[in-house]
Amino acid sequence: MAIGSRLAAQTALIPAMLIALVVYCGSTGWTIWISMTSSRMLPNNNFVGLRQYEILFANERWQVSVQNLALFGVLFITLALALGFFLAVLIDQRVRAEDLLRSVFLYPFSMSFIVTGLAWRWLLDPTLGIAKIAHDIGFEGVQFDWLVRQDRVIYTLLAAAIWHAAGLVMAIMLSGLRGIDQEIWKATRIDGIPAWRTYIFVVIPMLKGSFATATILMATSVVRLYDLSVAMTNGGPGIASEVPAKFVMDNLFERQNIGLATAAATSMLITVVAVVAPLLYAQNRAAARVAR
Amino acid sequence: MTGVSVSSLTKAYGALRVLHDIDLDVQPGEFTVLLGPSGCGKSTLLSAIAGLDEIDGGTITIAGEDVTEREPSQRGIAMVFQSYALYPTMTVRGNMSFGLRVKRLSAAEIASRVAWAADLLQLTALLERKPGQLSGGQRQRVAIGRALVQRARLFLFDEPLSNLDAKLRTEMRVEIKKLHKELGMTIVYVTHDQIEAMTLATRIAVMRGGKIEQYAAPDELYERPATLFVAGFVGAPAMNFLPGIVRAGHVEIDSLSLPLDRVAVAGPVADGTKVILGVRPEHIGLADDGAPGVVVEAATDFLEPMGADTLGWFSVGRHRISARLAPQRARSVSGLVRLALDLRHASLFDADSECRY
Amino acid sequence: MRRNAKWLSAARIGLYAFLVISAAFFLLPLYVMLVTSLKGMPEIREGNMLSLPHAPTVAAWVKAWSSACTGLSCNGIQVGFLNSLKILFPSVTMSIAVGAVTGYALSLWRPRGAAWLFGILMAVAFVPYQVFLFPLVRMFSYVGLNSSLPGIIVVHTIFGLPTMTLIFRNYFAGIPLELIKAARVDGAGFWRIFGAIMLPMAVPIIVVAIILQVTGIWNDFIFGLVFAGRENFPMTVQLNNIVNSTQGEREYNVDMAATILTALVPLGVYFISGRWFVRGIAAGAVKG
Repeated sequence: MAIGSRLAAQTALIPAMLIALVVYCGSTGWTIWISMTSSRMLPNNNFVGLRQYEILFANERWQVSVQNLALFGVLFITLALALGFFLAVLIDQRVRAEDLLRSVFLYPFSMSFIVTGLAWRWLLDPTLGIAKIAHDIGFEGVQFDWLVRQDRVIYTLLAAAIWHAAGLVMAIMLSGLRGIDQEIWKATRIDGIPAWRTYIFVVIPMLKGSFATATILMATSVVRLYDLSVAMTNGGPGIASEVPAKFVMDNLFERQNIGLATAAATSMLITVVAVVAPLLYAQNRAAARVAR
Repeated sequence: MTGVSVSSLTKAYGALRVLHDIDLDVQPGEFTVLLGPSGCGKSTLLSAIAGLDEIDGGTITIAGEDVTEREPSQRGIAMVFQSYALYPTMTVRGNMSFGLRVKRLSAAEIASRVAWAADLLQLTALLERKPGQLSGGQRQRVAIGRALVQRARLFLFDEPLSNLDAKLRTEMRVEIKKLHKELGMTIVYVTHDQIEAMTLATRIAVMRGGKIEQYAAPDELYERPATLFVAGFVGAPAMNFLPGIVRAGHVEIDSLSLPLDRVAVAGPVADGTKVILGVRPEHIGLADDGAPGVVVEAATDFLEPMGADTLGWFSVGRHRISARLAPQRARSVSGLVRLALDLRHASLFDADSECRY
Repeated sequence: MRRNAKWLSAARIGLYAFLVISAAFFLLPLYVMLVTSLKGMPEIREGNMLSLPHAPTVAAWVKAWSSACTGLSCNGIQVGFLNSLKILFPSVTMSIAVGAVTGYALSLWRPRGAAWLFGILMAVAFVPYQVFLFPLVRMFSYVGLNSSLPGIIVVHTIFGLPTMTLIFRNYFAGIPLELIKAARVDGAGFWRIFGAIMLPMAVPIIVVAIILQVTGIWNDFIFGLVFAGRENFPMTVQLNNIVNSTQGEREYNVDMAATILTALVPLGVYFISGRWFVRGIAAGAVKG
């Protein structure tokens, strides 16, 4: 290969390599190191082992954050996948105004979590929002005050997040459905298999890739969940809608407890690695099988 | 004009050696075809000559200059690729002039060269089109034009016709041959199609497993194949192979015994040697029609009409052989026949080394 | 034809009913934001959230744009809008430029270290940003980039890199290698091939990248909050500050007008780009 061009290719990678080494690897290492020191407002190198982690996991706010994220994550991914897939199947029935419906389902995804959060916060406002309408038309018993109830507030985040992402799932699934060979449908019709069975036993397995793509996208946004909580509830009422990312941010920039914050961040990192690594490994193995 | 000389070229991908100690000499103005099945290393050899692949050992000389360490653009070559490799966002003119612009030739020089090549290849009307708007044959001509404007010392073609349909392929073959005749450039041309090789080449290098089995003129290659592989690869329908043992000046093939003195061999063959006798279908005829050669009894299996000829398939003992027959005559062939094998044109190979005697 | 389309039955009616209800669910927040922003405060307090405004007024929009307060300053969300524009153009350009060059070098040249670099980039796509924030803030302070416009631009370039590299690498990997060989025989080098051949061919993926980055960077909250500095807070951060500013009575109409204003740019990108929008997101999601 041309010496000059090879040198140029190597040079062209310098920014990316610098970013990868200094920012990605360097920061991660530094964060892990700080999490094992007694740093509070400023980083120090006073090694305390896993002390910060002990404090962290004894911290009620962190416990609530983790529980919230787990509950939110599982419900969000499941429900968004279900709703998105269902909408895609319906739209795929050669309905009228398909383009309009697609646009309507997907537009929330283009907006930020801050906008989403503020819109839903207003919609669910306990005095002037949907609650008031329900009240006015006579549903006295129905209480639409989940936004201010400690045991329910996480479901309001959930509703907003599903509203934000279901259209994306729909779009991914729809392009998957459109990619399925029409002969499959002819074959199942000739075999007399009812449509719903075809969807469950033939189509869904064929859409594995689409499900994986949608799941990866949503899982990434679950771990990063922060803006939505800030905009909608700011973690409240009390600490009922706290999430790990917010825990880290608050301890880093407001509570001046960077040792604890980095311990929390490291815990998030370890969780992600534990979940993602096997998935990527499986994907690579599947890809290798296909390649062979 | 200029020659190419490759000596002791080796190349490996990890543990896999793809080129073994290759020597190849291309004379100025020669049209050399590298012929072989896929995976034989012919394209790798071409890439090495072009400088597109690094080599592990050996030297490459073009026009007497050692270019082994030079970049492709410094070797004075032009190349035509299998997929044409036209730049899709540029017009035909842009494609043809890109290399000249990179070399910072004057606008006038570029214009005149493009006009010359376009005229030669009947591309003048298409100069402002994009490759996407051209047919396969037109794209191929642009790819050749892009090479021509380089005024290169050496032209390299990497399976340039294999993406074309059969009719266009024949037309382009003629056109390439015409260009070579008119411009007299040196060409190294890779193909797996032996007809292409036979019709175009002044010399053919048949390759297999990273080695050159034989490098000779087409006639020589056809009439005196150096190895069993060359004999089998070149020629369609393929050469008949009859395995046997040499005894007392004869080749014994099962119950048959064919005299060895008719076969053109370089030296004496020792008794007891396992050999393979190769006879082309056109050197087998019907003895009753006066065809020359050693007569054997055969049973008719079936006939394959091919238009100009009919290929007759016969059983001789345990072996099946084919003979090229005149169509009118072939119609009445059936049952037991007497075949004449013209051993003067036969080839004799050692069964172990697979080399010609 | 998959199923008999003329078969208008209960199932078909149910299908449309569900789709219409779903559409209403998706449109509801936007509708409520819109009507609220056009009402006066008394009407909001007494009336029904869903009802159309009796006397539509754009007063709330004017206030949201030019005089809504965040803490002490009352210059409206226009400040954030301008900041977001100032952040957007250089950030989009830089992140795409670096991603395109990196993807090109990785896909077609196989330089040393390509495999581990790509592995790290892909891993980072999953890692929560919180892991990087503190060290990055310290590093930026050290080199004087913290709380500055260049700082936030660099941050967007850094965190746009994995996705940008991935989509460009995947796109360039689909280009036949012979094209590069032909260009090399023509005497073009790394940069010449990139500029003259690859970039013109990459127009579709550049459009996808622009869609992804414009919406992503405009919608960013956390990086703007941490790295831009008070002077350069992007629109999302300013919006949140306006809505949460504690002075006086809460003006829901102003809040909603400001919210819609903040959403306008990504909504515009979405409606103009149509199906390319989905293509972009899907392109960024398919790893390896």
